[in-house]
Amino acid sequence: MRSNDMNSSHYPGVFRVQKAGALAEPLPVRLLLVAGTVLFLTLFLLLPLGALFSEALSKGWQEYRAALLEPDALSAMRLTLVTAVICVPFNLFFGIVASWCTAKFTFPGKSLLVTLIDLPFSVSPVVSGLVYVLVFGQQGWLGPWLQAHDIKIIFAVPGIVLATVFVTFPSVARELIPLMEAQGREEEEAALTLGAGGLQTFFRVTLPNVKWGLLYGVILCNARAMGEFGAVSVVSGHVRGATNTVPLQVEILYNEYNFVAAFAVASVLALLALVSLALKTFTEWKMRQLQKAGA
Amino acid sequence: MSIEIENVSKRFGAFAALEDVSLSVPSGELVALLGPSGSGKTTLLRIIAGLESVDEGKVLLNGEDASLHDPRHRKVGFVFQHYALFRHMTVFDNVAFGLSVKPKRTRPGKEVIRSKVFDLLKLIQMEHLWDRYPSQLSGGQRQRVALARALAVEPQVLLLDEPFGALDAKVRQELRRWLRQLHDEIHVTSVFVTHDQEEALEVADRIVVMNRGKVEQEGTPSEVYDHPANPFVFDFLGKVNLFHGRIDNGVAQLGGVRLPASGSSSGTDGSAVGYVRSHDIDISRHGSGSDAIAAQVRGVLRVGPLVRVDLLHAGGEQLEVDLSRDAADRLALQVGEQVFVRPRNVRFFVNDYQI
Ligand SMILES: Nc1ncnc2c1ncn2[C@@H]1O[C@H](COP(=O)(O)OP(=O)(O)OP(=O)(O)O)[C@@H](O)[C@H]1O
Ligand SMILES: [Mg+2]
Repeated sequence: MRSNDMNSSHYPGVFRVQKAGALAEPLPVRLLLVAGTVLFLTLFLLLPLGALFSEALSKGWQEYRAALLEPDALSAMRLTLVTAVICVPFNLFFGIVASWCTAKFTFPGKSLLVTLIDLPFSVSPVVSGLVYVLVFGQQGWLGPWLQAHDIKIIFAVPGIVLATVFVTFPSVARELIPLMEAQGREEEEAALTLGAGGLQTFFRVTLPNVKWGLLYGVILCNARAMGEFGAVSVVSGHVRGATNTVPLQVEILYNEYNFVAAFAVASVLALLALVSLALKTFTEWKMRQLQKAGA
Repeated sequence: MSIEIENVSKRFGAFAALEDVSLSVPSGELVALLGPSGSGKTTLLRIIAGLESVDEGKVLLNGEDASLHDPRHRKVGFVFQHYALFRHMTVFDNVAFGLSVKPKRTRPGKEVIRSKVFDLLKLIQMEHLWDRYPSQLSGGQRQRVALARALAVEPQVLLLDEPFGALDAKVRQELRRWLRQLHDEIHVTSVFVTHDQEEALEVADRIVVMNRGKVEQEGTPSEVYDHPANPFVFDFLGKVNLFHGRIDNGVAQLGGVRLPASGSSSGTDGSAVGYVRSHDIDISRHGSGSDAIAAQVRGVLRVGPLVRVDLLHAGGEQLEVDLSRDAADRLALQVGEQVFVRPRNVRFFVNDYQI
């Protein structure tokens, strides 16, 4: 690509690190570092992953299949999917809106808003779940009103969705805000002087500029939504075949000493994680490519 | 379209970026906003474009209050200091943007847009690069794309913020001639920002000199260069030498030389400072204390077509004199020798001004 300095000066906030030629460590040190990293990864990541799949398949494919097709397991997968399908678009929308407001405009209370957006990541998910019980539960603030209108939130699907939306809320906004801030407002201003309206500017200038960051945020959001345990566990009520998500189902099966089924269902989550990882790596690579191109 | 700026003030917090700025740009003129960094040039341009609001005063476009119009309907083309090209669009799409976002009723057809964009690309000599992305262009090419993009919507006013700022001297010169030619062809009212006085003097019909959020002087290039209104303008538009002295009864005493103080900015007597351009000083070996100032040569330096002579005159002040090569060769000055200097064109300012 073209010269470094031109790219980095033209697009503030996007810097590239020089390849470490002069900084290279001597060979033995490098080997040691690499070996250490590989060993660590094997011990803590690959080994458990291998154990998971071998345990899931320990009684053969038949059992594995049966465990996955069991009605409760299927219902758990369905619920997890439903949750993700509601939660991801919701957070996508609000993540974009929130980051657009905070990155492209100035208004009083802006830094407070940015801090608030981060809140769900900084409190324990269990606490988030408990807060929802406090608000929507039978003894909660809105409990009597909800009961009077026959609306069930806690120990039902809406509660699970709400809790998941809450804990995954920052994932999109956190990706977008730094990206949009680094890109500044000039392109939007240029669009404005060229006669573009607010929505045209957003869809034709702002959004395309952050699309890879957005995809990255969505992948993270989805992974967290499907894997969330703590908050969901509190609001779910663990009704088999009704309010159990996949992670909750795994826990139940495990507590019943049904290891093969537990690991089989868990392997679905693990596969999901691997797919997310692959997608995430791809988008990261793509974002780096774009940065390299200075675009 | 004419631009009228009436008593505009703009503050950022407690900082006054513009203070009571008034300015008028007649339709079809090319005006340079000249001033040091931080003097409010970009701010003024952004206010004309409607990207920034005013605290006081108003902007009239074609005699109409501009605040009545949304910035997107002002018909103002803006070329940003850092180009602000759409990074995910090709050169073609960048230039086509303004046309393609027009409302359906007024939007030209695809083919019309295409031919118009290619006409513009031909104008900036970049048709062959139509499918490049901004990151694949050189600084000067980006600059020209930014200009073509602004021209595509046929603006009535063109605002250029340091259009040649990031370019090397040669490309700069080419582009500034090109801008002048372009302006002579399409006659769109244009305001361009620069802090290069040479650029302003060469290209503009009129120059507006700004300093610390205020307009110091406005006029044609020769007006501001030959008749600077105040020491700041004098200093900013080229190199100057200062002679400290006194004015008594309309006669100035500068280090033993008596000169008629006709150029004084005020009629009062007292201590005064004479401002002389570095090419408005003669050097000779002969003279007396009454018609010339004695000085000692401290250095002789050849700078391109000129020879720069550093001197220390009897009053103890530094002088810098530019001679043509011919004159310098005839004199053959030696470092350390005593000479006499005669200022030719002196402007007096009574109150010593400080930068
Ligand atoms: N958004 C802002 N908030 C606060 N201060 C600002 C803002 N924009 C400009 N300023 C200040 O206003 C002053 C004038 O800025 P401006 O950008 O107009 O200068 P300029 O003449 O264009 O300078 P340069 O030649 O360096 O581009 C500067 O001191 C700057 O710090
Ligand atoms: Mg500026």
